[in-house]
Amino acid sequence: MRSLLGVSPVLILTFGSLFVLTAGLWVKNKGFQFWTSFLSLIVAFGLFLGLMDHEGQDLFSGMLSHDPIASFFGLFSVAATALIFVFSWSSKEVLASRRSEFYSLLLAMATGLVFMGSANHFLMIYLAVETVSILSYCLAGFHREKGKSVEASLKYVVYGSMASAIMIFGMSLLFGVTGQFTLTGMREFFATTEATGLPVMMWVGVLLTFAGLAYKVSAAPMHMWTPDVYEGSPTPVSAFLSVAPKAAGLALLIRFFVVGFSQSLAGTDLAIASIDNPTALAFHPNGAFNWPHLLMISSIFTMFMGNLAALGQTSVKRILAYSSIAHAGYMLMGLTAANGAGIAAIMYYVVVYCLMNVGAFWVAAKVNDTLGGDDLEHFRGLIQRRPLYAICMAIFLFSLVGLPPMAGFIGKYYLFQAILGRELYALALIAAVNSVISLWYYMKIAKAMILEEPQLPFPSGSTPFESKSSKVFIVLLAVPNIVLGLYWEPLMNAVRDMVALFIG
Amino acid sequence: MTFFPLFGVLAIALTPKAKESMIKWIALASVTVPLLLTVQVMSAFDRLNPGMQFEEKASWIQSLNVNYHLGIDGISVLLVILTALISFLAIFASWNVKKMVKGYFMMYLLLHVGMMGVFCSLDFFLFYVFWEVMLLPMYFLVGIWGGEKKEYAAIKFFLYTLLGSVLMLVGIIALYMYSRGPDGMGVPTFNMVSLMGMDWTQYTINIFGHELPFDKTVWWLLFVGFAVKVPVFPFHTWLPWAHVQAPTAVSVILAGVLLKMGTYGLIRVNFMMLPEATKAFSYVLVILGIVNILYGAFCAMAQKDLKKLVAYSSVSHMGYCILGMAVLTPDAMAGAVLQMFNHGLSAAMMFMLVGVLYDRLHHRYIVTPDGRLGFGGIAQKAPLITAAWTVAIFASLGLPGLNGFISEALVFIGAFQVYKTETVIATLGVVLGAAYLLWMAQRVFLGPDTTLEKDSTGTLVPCEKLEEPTLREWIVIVPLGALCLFIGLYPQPMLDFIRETIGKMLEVYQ
Repeated sequence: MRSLLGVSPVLILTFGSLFVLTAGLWVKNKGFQFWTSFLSLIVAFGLFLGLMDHEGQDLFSGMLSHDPIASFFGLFSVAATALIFVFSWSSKEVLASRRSEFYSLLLAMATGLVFMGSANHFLMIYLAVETVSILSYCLAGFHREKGKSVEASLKYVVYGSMASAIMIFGMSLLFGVTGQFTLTGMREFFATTEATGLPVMMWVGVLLTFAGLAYKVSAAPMHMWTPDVYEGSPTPVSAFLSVAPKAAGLALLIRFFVVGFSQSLAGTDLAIASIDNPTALAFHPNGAFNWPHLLMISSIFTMFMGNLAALGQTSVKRILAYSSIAHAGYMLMGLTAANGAGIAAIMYYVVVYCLMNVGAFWVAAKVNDTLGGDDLEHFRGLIQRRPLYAICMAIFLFSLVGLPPMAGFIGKYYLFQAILGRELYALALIAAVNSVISLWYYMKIAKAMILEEPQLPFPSGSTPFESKSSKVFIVLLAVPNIVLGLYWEPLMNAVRDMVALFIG
Repeated sequence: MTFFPLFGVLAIALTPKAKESMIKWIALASVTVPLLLTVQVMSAFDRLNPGMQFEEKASWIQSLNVNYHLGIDGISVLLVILTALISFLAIFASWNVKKMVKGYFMMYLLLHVGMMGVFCSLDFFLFYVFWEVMLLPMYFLVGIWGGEKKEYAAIKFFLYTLLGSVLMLVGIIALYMYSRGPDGMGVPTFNMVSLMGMDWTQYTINIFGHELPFDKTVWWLLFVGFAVKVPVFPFHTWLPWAHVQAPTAVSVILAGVLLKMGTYGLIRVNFMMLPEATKAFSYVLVILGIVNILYGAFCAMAQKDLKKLVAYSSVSHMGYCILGMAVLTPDAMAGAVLQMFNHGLSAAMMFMLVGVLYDRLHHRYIVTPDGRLGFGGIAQKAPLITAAWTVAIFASLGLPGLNGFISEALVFIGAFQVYKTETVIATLGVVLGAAYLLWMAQRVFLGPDTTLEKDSTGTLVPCEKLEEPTLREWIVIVPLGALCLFIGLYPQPMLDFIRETIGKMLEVYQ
């Protein structure tokens, strides 16, 4: 019963998803479909908040964990889904005849995301990842009349099934060595086993499982699908894919390495005030396998891949896709630090990243709806046509670069502080150079919008830019980007408290 | 004082686009108030107190120990005055902006806030925020309102400075982390005053498996950040581009104030916080300073574009600052700080005068691409412009009686006590300076009247008539020229501001 209560937000989401799908057969009213599904998101969000007091115990005998990380990423997934709901309200790329299906798929995906944040059992991890993946394939190919959309979906399926196969193979190896199915079980196993006696197969298993999860966060070398899928998918879906599964993937990575492969140093000298003391190593990698090193190498490659490949792109959606790869690299740095400060930095960054990335995709969607494309030339001279959108887009872009006083800077600052606290100077310098590289392609968009003259004829009369709700939405995304850059203490403190409870 | 222009930004944002003159007046008001406040600060400033004055402190982010902490000492007070003054004057130089007036003045005021903030902040985090806040308006001011190759110039400026500042950020965080003391138990701090007294030499850091001394590594990280701004050779290549492409008022600010942020940062951070490392690298700085002086001068001599010539002369003049700082004697240091102020005046004046010529003739060729003289004999057509130019040229080349002489002489007197040969080589820079400036004067103002102007079709035709400066232009030129003359004749008040602070700062080095 307690377990059922623990997953009640997911039950609500599932119910909402099925209800919209069924009701959509008869009720074609857009508002009705939207608000009923949105209601289930609100209820789920409220339940998550209410259940935070009952954290600490495993649900369904160890299948799921109910801890601060699970709650945080659950809340985040639901909120991000809600953002995408608003996003898709006025988008022309979501066809009116298939709206109920779209909402239903999004809600179903939210359940998968919530499970990814809380899964503790290998089987549950696999199921959650697959739920999210399969629904992502459907959403990417939502425009089934459009060649590019179908192409995106197919590429996604091929890469995705490959990655899941690799991951489940890795899990089977891990099970073979440890005899444990749950992450908490693995931790106990390591606590009682001498590390030197473990076979190499064990680390192969870790590597393969990591590959599967890296695919979800689009970290190198599992990032190749990202640009094609983002470019081909309808823009609301690209925005969603760039934010929510990435965050959930990070949650899984955190749980996998921190719960499964670390020995908590809580209570020992090394972890004194670990959350306030960024130099502390809060967890000790188990056995001979130094997983922070693996993450560091992956994060360096991811940053360089994303940033260098973005330099030559001309499609804004592709630029944002490569930038999302680069940002995955930045966020992995936080886990490399292997302490509470690093995890808190990731969680803060996820929130900020969601705000700025969804905002940037939103402007791209409006340009796409109005001018029929999202290349740089479509953005040219936007400031003269729609100054509000151009200014907000500039805020999102500068936030993505990480310039103060935008929130993106604070996010990067905490990541830098976490790794510098652990004396990873080389990594910090590499990340710094990467920020500079990224400036070039973000500024390419800003330059086209603000410095250049408009080229393409702008349709007269009412355009998607004009809608009031769209203007309100864009401002609501832009304002927190500045507010969180000037006063971020409440959010950061909340996140730190959660991490402190998690690593306890 | 720092934030007043921000009200201006808001006020302008609320003003309708069409009311251009109202926007201009709001902008003028929002730079006048800081100027008046600065005058008041100047008179209330206690010249015998070497420490921080007018401190303001409020908690900002407690968990990081970040404070809103402002204050000025003898070094920053001069630069604050300079910032307020140059920003006030440059408003007049931007009076005839036509494109997107509203955006221009909002960016302008934002830039003002950033510059003031950098000179006043005593919290390292705040310092960095202001440092970066200034980049964006600068990018747009050059990128939107600049010349033909404005986009290239703007992004080049942006990339160079951002590279410098992210390295600086790494250095800042490293200092912050280690400010907890050797046992790692203290509260880390961003307070620039408390960071000054710490002993950094006891730590080492590990990069790629090499053990490096902490203070020296961090010193280089910070140095690159500031050196890009100064600009120190070899980080200077953005400067000619940005200067040449920027609109007149922005070049004035760029040369007058922005470059000083680099040297100010070097003094405030590298010299005051990491004295041991500074001592170790002072000879490198001396060499870099001399390279700057000579290289800048030779480049200036080769230029065919008037504005580029002035831009390279800035590189050369900032070399005196670096040299003066690096020798670590009180005279030279005072000379370096005064040189920042003086160069701010004379370079601002020169760029303004380039703008005056450009507005009338629409070109800047000393020698046109087809080999003719672009100007020539301007003295016959416009004696008043020529007179103003003459003041600027002589101030810049260091004629006794004008301000450049005082600071350069101080630098050389101080430097000669320590490095004899090097100083003699550096004095060559003065000769070269005289050479390129006088050669330029000869080709532009003297000789037969061959002045060309670019007509509406873009071809160069002989110029019929050259108007003398308007009242608006005089408002900019006269105060600058008068100050140049005043400091040249009676530098004592300025030196009084800086002496105590420098004395205290150099105690560490004895």
